[in-house]
Amino acid sequence: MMTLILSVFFLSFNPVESYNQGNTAYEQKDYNQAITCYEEARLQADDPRLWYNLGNAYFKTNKIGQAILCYRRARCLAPRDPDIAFNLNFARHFRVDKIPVADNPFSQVLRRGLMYFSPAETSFLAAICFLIGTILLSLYIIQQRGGWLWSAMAAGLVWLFFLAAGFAWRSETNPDNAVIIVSEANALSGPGPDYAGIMILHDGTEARIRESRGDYYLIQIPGGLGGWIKQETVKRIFSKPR
Amino acid sequence: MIDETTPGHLLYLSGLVGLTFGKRKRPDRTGLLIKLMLFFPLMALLNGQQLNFEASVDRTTIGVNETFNLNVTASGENIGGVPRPELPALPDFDLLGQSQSQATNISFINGKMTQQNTITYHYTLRPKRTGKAVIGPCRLKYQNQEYQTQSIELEIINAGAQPAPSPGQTPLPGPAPAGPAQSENLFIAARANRTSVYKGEQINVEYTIFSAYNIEDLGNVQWPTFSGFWSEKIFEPQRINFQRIHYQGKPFLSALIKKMAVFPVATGNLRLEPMSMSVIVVQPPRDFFDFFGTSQQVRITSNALTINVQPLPDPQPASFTGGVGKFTMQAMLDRDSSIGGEPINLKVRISGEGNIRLIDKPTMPVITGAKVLEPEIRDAIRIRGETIEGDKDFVFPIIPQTDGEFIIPGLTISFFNPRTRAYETVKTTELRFTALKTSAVGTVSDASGMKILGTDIRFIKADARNLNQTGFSNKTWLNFVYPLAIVGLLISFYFQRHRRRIATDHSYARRLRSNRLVRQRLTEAEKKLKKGAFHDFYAFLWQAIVGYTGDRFNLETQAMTREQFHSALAARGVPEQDLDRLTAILDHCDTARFSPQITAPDDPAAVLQETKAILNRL
Repeated sequence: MMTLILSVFFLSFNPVESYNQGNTAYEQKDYNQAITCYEEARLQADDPRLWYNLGNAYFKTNKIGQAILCYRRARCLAPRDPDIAFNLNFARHFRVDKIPVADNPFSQVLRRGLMYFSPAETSFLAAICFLIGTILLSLYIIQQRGGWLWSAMAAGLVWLFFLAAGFAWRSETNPDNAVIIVSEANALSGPGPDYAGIMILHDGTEARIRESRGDYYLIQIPGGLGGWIKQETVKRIFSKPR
Repeated sequence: MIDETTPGHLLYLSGLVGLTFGKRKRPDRTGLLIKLMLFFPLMALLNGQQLNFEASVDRTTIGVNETFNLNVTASGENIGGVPRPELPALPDFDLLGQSQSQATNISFINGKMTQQNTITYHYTLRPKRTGKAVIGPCRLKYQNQEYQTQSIELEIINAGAQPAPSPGQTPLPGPAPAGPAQSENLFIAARANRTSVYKGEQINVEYTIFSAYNIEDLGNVQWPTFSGFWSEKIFEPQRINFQRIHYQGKPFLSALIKKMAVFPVATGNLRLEPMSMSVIVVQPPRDFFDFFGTSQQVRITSNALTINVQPLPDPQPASFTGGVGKFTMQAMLDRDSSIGGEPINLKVRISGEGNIRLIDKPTMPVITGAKVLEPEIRDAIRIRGETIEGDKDFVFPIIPQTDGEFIIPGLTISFFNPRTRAYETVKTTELRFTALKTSAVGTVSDASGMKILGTDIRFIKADARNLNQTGFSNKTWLNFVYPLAIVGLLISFYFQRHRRRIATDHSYARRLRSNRLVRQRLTEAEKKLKKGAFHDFYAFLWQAIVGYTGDRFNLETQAMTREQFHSALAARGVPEQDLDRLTAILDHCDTARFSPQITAPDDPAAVLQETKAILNRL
């Protein structure tokens, strides 16, 4: 007991310890304990590995919604990590609601391209590009040599790409993006228990929060359908845009 | 009893014969009736018909514990919309129940239809005290007319003393079934097979009627709601069978009315409320004239029972879901393979004796690669002997998400066995099924073209030395890059403009360099002054003044005469005072430069300071 208290005390000050303890618990298949440790660590750390492992632990306890949430947060920090992409995709196939997403190959490639760099990298690279572009433009203004202008325009194009990537990430990390975290949620036609049910949503379904009223959120799933569901049945994936 | 959902207006219209509905009408039903009556308001509007409104009682002399009927009748042609009459205040009576009957008589006379309605409201009353009592007039408002019945006088006599056919008759021998005598000679006993149980344990309660008299026509039974218990009927005879028994040394007629099984759902001292019923006590004929004997309606109430319910012992096992009794559990799958992600149903059946309806679902283990949905629950109750037994089925739909063989581990459930006073755990066997072609999960690829082949997620990331504490997002210096870059761009733009102006605008270039030149010349002049080279000093001073004014106003001052210089500067707004002084200094310089004598007529240092001050003001 004493060790537990001590360890809890200690853990609350060292996210790395909690993370490693969570890994140990996970390897011993004590997934609930692993979740406790990871959740503790995440109060003080924001690391893709942590989110990924937490997602795995949730997945192992059949909480698909929570797992998807964690993977999406991990992907936002490390978008090129193949494990995160794999597990996110895997978890998404585990959902009960199979919502067809009409995504053509072009937009898929564009999306992947725009999300190749993480939001932090994107904003950094955008700033660098802008700086280089302005330096090149200044050189052109001073020296009036056409080469500088072309280079500056190239840098501007690259900057525009990062700008678009930034907007893509903003939409991805919009706090209105939410995921169902209970096994079944009734979507009603109004914000109250007396309204008629429209549909039943299941764990892991990703939706967008359109409106909030009282204890209810108006959510919309891809394809346009929507309804009012209790606030505790969904969780926002990001608390603030990146 | 008429069901709430029965379309009442159909019944209302349908009768050529009298229909009786609502034996004991609850007050909320009246609202329904009124609504139904209002459903045909035209009927009420047809024409003002004569309405007969009467009240009657079935007898006017009543024992204090007896019940009697008050009938209020409204009759007339086409009086379908008649409202319920208003009863007078009845302080001396208990209203036990009410009902309504209606007769409709439709006849065709010379092709004209007439409809005669008779609506009777029956009220069952019981007097509260002896003596004379009056039922006041009942009122009825119909088509803006008020009808009212005559008052009815009643005589309430001491119970049991049935009015004899001939006055002056002596009371009947033997104790009359009233007052305290009722409880001794006519009563209902509620008996439980035990009064101290665990929560959820079965208790059998028997309701038996005991009577020292001949009784008949048992009816109007009122059962309690058994709140705090789950109750099931074990036995209820089709017809009540009286047996002669000796009970506490007295001969009795006794009959079992009902046997119930109740399961407490709360703990503590729980009260089983009494039940009550009406019976008619038949007194045997006493003499030739009293041929049929007399009868009397009596309402009897059973005793209440108190059950001491103990909570289940702690600690409760984790797999305990509320079952108390003796149960077995088995699990089965409806199929052993699923194709294309079809759900497979896992049926978990809990059977045995005990509080089967109150058992909750067992915890489903996590099946990797499959999704288990909330179960569908069915139960069936059977009565064997005096114990309640049954089956409860939980049907869990399992949706496989990936291909492969799935293992459903054994499920465990614990229940409390009150006989052994211990928790017992039962376990099902492990089940297996296979899934094929599960909704293309095996072949679906994400945008990267990755194929999902496995049936599990990838393993966790390894331990870390350090974790990123804040994420990469809070780089505040990035906010300064954009303004800095813009400022840089503006600077370069202005620099370029400046350079171009220097190249193209001569006066701009001269003005720009004037400051530097005048400072150079003045410094030079100062140096010469210190060395005592007054010639050179005045030469530099002259240079400084002429050069600076020339650069400043873009004039060719070098080649100007004294007068030209003066007028040009005056035209450019140089104050007269400064200009005069400046011209004077220039004159002085000229004189000093070209005079062979090296003299210092004025104080040269003061001249230098003055020049500086004037040039600064320009």
